[in-house]
Amino acid sequence: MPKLAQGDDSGMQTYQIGGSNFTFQATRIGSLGASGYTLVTIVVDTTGSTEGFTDQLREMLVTTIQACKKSPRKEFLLVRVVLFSTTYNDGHQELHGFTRVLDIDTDSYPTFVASGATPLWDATYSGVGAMAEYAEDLVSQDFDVNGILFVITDGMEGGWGGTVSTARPAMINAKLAEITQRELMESMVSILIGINASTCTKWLEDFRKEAGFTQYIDAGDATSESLAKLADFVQFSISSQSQALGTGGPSQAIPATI
Amino acid sequence: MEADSHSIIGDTHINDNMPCQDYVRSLVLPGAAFAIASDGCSDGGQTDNGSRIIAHATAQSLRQHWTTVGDPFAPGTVPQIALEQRITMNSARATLGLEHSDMLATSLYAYYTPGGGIAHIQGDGVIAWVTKDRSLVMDRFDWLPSGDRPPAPFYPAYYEDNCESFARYYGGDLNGTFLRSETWVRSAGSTEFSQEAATEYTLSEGIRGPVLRLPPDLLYVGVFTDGVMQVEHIDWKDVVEQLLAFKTTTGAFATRRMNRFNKEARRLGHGPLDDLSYAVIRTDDETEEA
Repeated sequence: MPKLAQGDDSGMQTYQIGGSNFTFQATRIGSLGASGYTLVTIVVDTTGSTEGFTDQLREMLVTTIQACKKSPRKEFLLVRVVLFSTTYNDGHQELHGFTRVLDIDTDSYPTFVASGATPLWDATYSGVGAMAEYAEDLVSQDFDVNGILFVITDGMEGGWGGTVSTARPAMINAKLAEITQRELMESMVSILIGINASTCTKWLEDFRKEAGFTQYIDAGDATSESLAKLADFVQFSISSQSQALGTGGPSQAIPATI
Repeated sequence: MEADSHSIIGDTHINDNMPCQDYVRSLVLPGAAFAIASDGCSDGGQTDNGSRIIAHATAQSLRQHWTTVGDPFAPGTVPQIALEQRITMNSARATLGLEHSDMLATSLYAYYTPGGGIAHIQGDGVIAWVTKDRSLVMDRFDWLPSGDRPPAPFYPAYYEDNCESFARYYGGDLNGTFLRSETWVRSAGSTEFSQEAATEYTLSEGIRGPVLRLPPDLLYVGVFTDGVMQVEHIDWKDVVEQLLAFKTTTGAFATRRMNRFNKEARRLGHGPLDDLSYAVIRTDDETEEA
């Protein structure tokens, strides 16, 4: 899919995600120096029901990024962080597009405000779609690429009025399948994480199957302890998947539970 | 200028449980860049150590020459670099307790500045460059058989006995021609290669090592071990051309290209039989956009 702009002084380029009006930003490929990259996407729920633990969600994110900055694989990580809620245009907002982890300034992450309904499907589609588009571009320029996606949510798609997304689980599934069939990446791991989601575990399990996620993980209640464990899990999984880059297959070391 | 280098282990080494015996280095200093390759003899000892030592010794010699002399065309450049290289090699061998057979490895390097540079080869392999108009020039160096005996490339380690055993292998005839090079060119806009020259070198010239003068304003200069000549079903000229067809030119540009070349070749059932290695200098500072 076409890049929409030739880049600006920030070194980022804007892309459009096929099959949608969604766009995303990514580091201009001409400035990338590694032999390959693990594309990391973290999609975080900031809808109204996350009231009471948004600070912990932000803390989890900051902790994860800071840990990645110390990873032996830090030179090979490009990270995109997306918040989702119907409060945002298109139901989601990038904190930043695919950025070298060492270039990420977590001090600039805003305070998360819990508000709005849950465009979970749109946010997930944006996550997967952006990875597919950027991976295709990277691979065409000789970069080795694999990916790992985390979608962290406390609830089901929609709000009181029903579905709020334009995307559907089948579209997400098709995009994940496309990544595999067209070999856009060596491997793609997609993890749906429920936090404080005990009342909709079944729904999330069903969503996992319909959308084609690699796994669903129940992170338990939204306590400081569980979110700290979540940060450890995310960071460990990123590191494992990055170590698998160049092998042709996914990491075998990502645990099934936190 | 930027430089990068990469090696891939060959199938025969994998099958024989041997390590990659090539070693490559690349180095950029203010005003100069260096591409270095060394190929360890597969019939030698632990020549993965030897090639590594030779490559590092060469890099250090080149660095010192640039720092102290600052001109690749200065008189005595190649002998001075060769002497310092051998001093470092001998010291490392003694310190590490290595055997002579561990040090049997070739030496290739390019020493380049915006005003041009030189390339030097002791052994076999390929030196290639791309001009600004995208013409590709490549020189392939091969040692010839000695009567019924197979070809034996020269290794700097042979200086240990003043090259006497090497000379004896080739009948002691220092004026006999046992090293040959072929120069091939693909002109800008053309898809065909044409052989521009065939050069024969005497035994003594082969021991000292041919020196190529590199013109200024090149886009890329690369030194390749002879593994480029041993990729199944792919002609060596096509291998060199594909390895120099960079999509992007920042950072690990040669590593990316070689990794992709290797994957695509293997997908077609072709693979490098021998270790495949190169070191490349890039002089153009244009930013490649995807």
